[in-house]
Amino acid sequence: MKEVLQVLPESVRKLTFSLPSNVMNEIEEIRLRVNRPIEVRTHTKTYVLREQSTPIIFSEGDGALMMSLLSQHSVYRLEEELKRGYITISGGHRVGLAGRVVMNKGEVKGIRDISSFNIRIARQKKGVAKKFLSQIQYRGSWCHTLIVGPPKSGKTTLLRDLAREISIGTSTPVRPMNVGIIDERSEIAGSVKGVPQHDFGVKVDILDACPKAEGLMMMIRSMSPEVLVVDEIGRKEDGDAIMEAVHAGVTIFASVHGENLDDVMRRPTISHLFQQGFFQRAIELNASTKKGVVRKLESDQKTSIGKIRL
Amino acid sequence: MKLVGAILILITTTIVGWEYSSRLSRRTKQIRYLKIAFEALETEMVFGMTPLPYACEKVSYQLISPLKSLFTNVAKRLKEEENSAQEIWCSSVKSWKNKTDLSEAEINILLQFGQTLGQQDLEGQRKQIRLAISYFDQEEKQAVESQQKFESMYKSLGFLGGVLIVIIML
Repeated sequence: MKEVLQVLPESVRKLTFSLPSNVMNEIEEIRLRVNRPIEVRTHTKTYVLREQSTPIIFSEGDGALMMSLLSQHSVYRLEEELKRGYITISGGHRVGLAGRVVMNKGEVKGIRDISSFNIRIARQKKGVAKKFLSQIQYRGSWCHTLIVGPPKSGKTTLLRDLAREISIGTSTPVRPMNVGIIDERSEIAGSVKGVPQHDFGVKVDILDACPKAEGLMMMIRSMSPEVLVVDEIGRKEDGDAIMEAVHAGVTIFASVHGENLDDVMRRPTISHLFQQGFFQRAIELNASTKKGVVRKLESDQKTSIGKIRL
Repeated sequence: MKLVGAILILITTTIVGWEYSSRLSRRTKQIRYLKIAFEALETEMVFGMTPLPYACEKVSYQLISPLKSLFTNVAKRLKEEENSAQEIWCSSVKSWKNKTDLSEAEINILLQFGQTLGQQDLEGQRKQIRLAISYFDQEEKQAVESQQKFESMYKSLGFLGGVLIVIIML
């Protein structure tokens, strides 16, 4: 939280501090839009920042100041970030940006005149993966596992903690393993200048901001990982690269957007992964109940082997 | 007694004349250093991708007084204060200008440069620095010209002015 407060303009920061501490600990998003009131969102509720019951308005000047604070007065360093539309700040939090897009030769070159900031607070929830560990291993090694869930159901949080548990390896009979993370959207590790901002134990290597398909192969060639972790697979290349990786003897942990497992299995781009029986386990997450169901996949049939509350 | 007074007047006016003429040459020198400073800043920002506070700090190491103090001050304030770079730069320039021999034109170039400092992408930032340097080039030319024209004039004017006062008072 400290890192987030540092990038807020003084006036906003003061008001954020005045929120009750139980709200402070649960903030998931802070939304700042030029000429609009400021919203602070937790998982269940939305609060508007008020000064003596009148909502304060985020001015254009505040926006410019915030951009200065975000970039350490150096927007010229944010070329890549402005192209992708978000900035990762220390602590692994992400600030999404919207404004006027500048094009160059038909490609997005960056965003100027930024009018909306969305700060997504990253919270490492250590221990969420613990209950799943015993069900995703088989005879002393990890199973290829797919995590399925709609947005905000905690896929990335779970994936992050799984990576940590696998690399530390103390709470399971499986020995600690080298974990390679391909973090295309800088969300799993929240790297700043390549250094992960979350705790992963020792045996973790991260390819930050690398496209998944290329990243999987790069990792296998260069870092000899035993487990590979990828977020949000979905394109055809991803599926192909995962097949390659499985043939190279690496265990895969992946997450994918989807309401449930059936929904994902029907998707043409990655359905062949199921048909060929690559994934041995699937964890289905539910956004509203925050429950996870582990399923054992054997080529085409699927059996539920236990429900676990996150 | 009269003689002592006359000599004192002569010495004072001569010193004033010297001061004026050396101001001209100091201005030329300071514009040159400004150019060097901006080139160093360009290298740090565009090629080194250094954050602005550290870029200013690094540039300040390469400079001598009075320019050094501007960059040291800006770097320090950028790190400590919570204000936009533009605000910090402009107020620093304004409080710093009396320590220099720069004319209003150069100060205006600096102030204008500050308006966009740290707010533009790589290409834009680079253009701004290049623009400032090309303005300084012109100012330098003009400064050299006026130095050649007036340097010796101020010197002799000081001495001769003193002589004039002495003669009138005698």
